[in-house]
Amino acid sequence: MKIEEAKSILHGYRPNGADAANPHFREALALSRNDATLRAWFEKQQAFDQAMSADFEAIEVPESLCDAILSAADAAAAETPRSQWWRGRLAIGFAVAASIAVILTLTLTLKSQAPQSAAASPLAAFVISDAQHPETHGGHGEEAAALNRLLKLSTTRLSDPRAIDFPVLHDTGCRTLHLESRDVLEVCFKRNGAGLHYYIARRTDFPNLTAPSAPAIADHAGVSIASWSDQTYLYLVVSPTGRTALEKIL
Amino acid sequence: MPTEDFTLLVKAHYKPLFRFAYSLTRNSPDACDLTQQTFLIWAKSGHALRDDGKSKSWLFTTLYREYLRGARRAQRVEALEDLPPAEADPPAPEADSYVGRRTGVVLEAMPEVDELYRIPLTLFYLQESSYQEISDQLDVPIGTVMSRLARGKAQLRAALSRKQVGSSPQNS
Repeated sequence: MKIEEAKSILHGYRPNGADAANPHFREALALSRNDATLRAWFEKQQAFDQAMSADFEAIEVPESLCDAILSAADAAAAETPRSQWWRGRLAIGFAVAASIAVILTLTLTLKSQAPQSAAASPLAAFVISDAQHPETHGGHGEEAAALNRLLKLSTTRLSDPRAIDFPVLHDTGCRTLHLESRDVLEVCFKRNGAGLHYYIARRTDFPNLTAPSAPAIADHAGVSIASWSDQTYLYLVVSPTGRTALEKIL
Repeated sequence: MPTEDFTLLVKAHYKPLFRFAYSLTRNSPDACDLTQQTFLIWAKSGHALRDDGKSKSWLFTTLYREYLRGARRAQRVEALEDLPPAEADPPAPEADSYVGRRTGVVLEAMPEVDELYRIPLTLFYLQESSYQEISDQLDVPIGTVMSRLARGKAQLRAALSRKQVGSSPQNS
């Protein structure tokens, strides 16, 4: 093996020693022990790589991210309950019988597509969970900023009809959540000192959800959520501090 | 409720995934979204990979694909694989001068590295993935990973050098 080839290989040797037993590096490492020039180069490389890795390790991860992921997964699971009977420890015969029942149930469920209130839906659970982790939020983009300014105005009634351009908001960087691959826009704003979260979802993405044309408030363990809809969108506004903050501005 | 396996998977990998996402998106909210989306895809797909190494590679690969898939990003990300082969490595200053510098400088310099090289370099510096795993995650041959790491490091050194010169007292 030539020195240059060894250098090329050793570029991929992680400074934390995780590759010590990897045979891919064996020959190049052996050469570095016997060649003073290569050894000096490799030591400098490792020092450099270690310093670079330390910077990546220093990237702060939001403390609440883990809980937010688990909550979102929980909400997503509630939205589309998965039949995972094949993973159980049931006897084969029972599994076959159960599968027939599951198929029948699923067929009936899919056919019915029963309407569900948006205020008590997995979408509501999803946005409530998200609203409780504002440290992961952030308004982005000009259009989102304009909407934020509008929502902050003391004269703005949230339920007033307004022209929402979902694609423009999305494409200009408005914070976008994903629930089962469906986009939900979110804009944070403050009114009367209370932090609120305004979510917009396309009705076509949630065809079985219903919401009244005038806002209705529901409470979930101290968190309040107002929901309403127009022809195109579902609107949900979450107040982590209760319904008073919502009642004043709807 | 998420299963115990899923909870363990999230706890084991959300931090390096977030750091990878952060290096791609360069802001915390987008990185949070990308990390969360990756795990939701896992949850939705019902993956049952028992080999943690494969799970990890799947998560990194999926996060990277989701990043590329983003419509806005896709417009900004160059057609990476269509870029012409890099010419000779740029002259790289000595590495020693950066060791012991203040933290955060690398993250400031990384955006100056071509994305073609920045992605494998980031995966390498996260130290979660071996050569071979990076090759799998980016779906490129091992030899390509090797050359991209070498060139990426050379570009990173050059970027760090520029920043060091730019922040020296005589330039202030």
